[in-house]
Amino acid sequence: MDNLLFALNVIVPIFVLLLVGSIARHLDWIKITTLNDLNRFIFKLPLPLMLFFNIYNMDRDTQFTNDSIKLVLLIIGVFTGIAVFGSFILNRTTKLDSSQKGVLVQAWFRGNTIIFGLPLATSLYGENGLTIVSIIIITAIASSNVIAVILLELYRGENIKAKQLTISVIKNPLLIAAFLGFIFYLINISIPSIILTPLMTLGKTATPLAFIVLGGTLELSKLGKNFKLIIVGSLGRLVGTPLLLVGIGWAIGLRGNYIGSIIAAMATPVAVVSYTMSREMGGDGELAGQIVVVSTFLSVFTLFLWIFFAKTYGIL
Amino acid sequence: MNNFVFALNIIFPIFILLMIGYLVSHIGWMSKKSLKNLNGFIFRLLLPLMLFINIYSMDKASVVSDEAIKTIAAIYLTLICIASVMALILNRTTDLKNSQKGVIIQAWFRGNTIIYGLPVVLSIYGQSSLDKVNLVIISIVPLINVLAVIVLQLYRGKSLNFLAMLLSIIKNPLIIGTALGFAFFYLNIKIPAIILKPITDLSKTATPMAFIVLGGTLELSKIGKNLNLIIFSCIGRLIVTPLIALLVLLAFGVEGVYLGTAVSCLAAPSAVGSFTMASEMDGDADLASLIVVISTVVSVVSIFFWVLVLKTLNLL
Repeated sequence: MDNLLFALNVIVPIFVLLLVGSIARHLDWIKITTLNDLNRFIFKLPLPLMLFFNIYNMDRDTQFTNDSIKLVLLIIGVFTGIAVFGSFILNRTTKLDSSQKGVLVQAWFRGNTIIFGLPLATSLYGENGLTIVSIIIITAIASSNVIAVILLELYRGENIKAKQLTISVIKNPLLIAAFLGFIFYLINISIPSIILTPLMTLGKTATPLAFIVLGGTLELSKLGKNFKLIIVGSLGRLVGTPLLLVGIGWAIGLRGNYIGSIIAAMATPVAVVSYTMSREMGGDGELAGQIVVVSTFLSVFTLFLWIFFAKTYGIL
Repeated sequence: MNNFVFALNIIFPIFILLMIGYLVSHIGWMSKKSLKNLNGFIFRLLLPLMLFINIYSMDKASVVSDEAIKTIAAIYLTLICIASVMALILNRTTDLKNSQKGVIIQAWFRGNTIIYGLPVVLSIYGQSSLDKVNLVIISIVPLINVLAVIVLQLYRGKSLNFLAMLLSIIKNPLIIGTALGFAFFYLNIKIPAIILKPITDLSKTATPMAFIVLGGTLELSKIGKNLNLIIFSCIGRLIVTPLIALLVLLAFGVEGVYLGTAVSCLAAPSAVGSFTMASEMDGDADLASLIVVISTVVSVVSIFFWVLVLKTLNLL
């Protein structure tokens, strides 16, 4: 019961923001063209800033044990595997549009790590038990962003050459931000607070505004049309990917808190930014938005089951 | 010298946001039309939410001392008188447009209390003083917002009868935000955390987004045409109003940390919200935005001067 309540505590705030966006749109406080422009702005600036600061502010005291290195490789490996094999299977067995395939595969590996994973892990392990979870979260954020950029760029539909593809990937705001974040972190460049403060403030607008845009542009009446894809995208995210991570993690010798932390941080619904990004990169934005909303809703039940399962087997 | 550096520390972040707004608009990430529409959204939703949250989350335990009440009374009296007298003078002696008069009067009484006044107070008196003067600072915000709504509405040009005017004031989003804030505060209505959190997150996007919009729509080329009005407004904002307030406060027998707090808050440059509001309420938005920017620049010098005055008066 507690687990169910907890899941509700995380998703209700999200639905409040979606609702506010929807109301603002229907009262005509904000126009659809403005929401489109705002989405581009979020994609170009607040979102990259958020990613940059996630990496830049990484904990410097983290000790890398054998197991945590395994964990990092596991996440990168599984995400890459899902992207490669997922695309391969969709290309071979379905007649979906390129714009849909990219969105679907993205949904499988790109979870809402910060909004869901972090609070869930905190409630399970407490503020001091977050070392493993932080490793997972930062690895997942960095790798899922990079892989998503490449994936969506590949599915953009235009038949482009490798060189052009590379250029457009490198020019992506999120990749630039991730790259700069690592550079600043590794070289230990400290940013003066007079520049840090406004940029961080702006980075923090990314998530609430992205939900407002999604809420304002979402058309629930169109859920039916994409029903199968939405379900496949959501369940892949909420059940498939965490199962893969836990299974392979177990196989390579991870146990206890490592497995528990994977569940806490990785069994989360699809990230709102996958909607923001799909729209800006030629993906099926509508489908991406629907998967975000439906997977968020379904996560109440799947998270409950995951935690129940983990407790039954003594992992949590 | 320290004061000088300190003032730079406050205004530099503001200029970074303005510059980003300018770039966003000129690179074409957001069209002018969208920025204008976004401004409406900030006015109708984000600013009222911010006001609401500010009032709602006031600390009930914060000290309601006689000294604090006296300070607040003196500030209210000063600002209301300044607004009324300025309206009288401008109506009698000038042939300015109504849209300009409203903006000038607003500039005289409406400073950037939270972003500018609060940090100044903290740097002078330290975090520990906040318990004492918190109430004073928080009380200024609703007053200047309500006053601004009244002034801008009165100068909106349509000749309305008293009742219609009253109605249009009551229907203003900022008034509604303020009223609801006080209602919730006094009736002790507790908002569940799952709703409070997302709307608080959303309210925090108000200020950065307002600066982005201001930066994106700023027309520096219009400085020349408006130069006299800008100078007049900035002198009022940065010098005359705090000076009158200082005298009234002294007459009321306010001293020490209370006096310093009041003067610091009232000597802050023009608030970004005054641009947001002027633009939505048929005021001269170009003039309002130039006043915000120029008073912010000049404040580096004027706040330095005010801290010196307070020191000389042995108030610090």
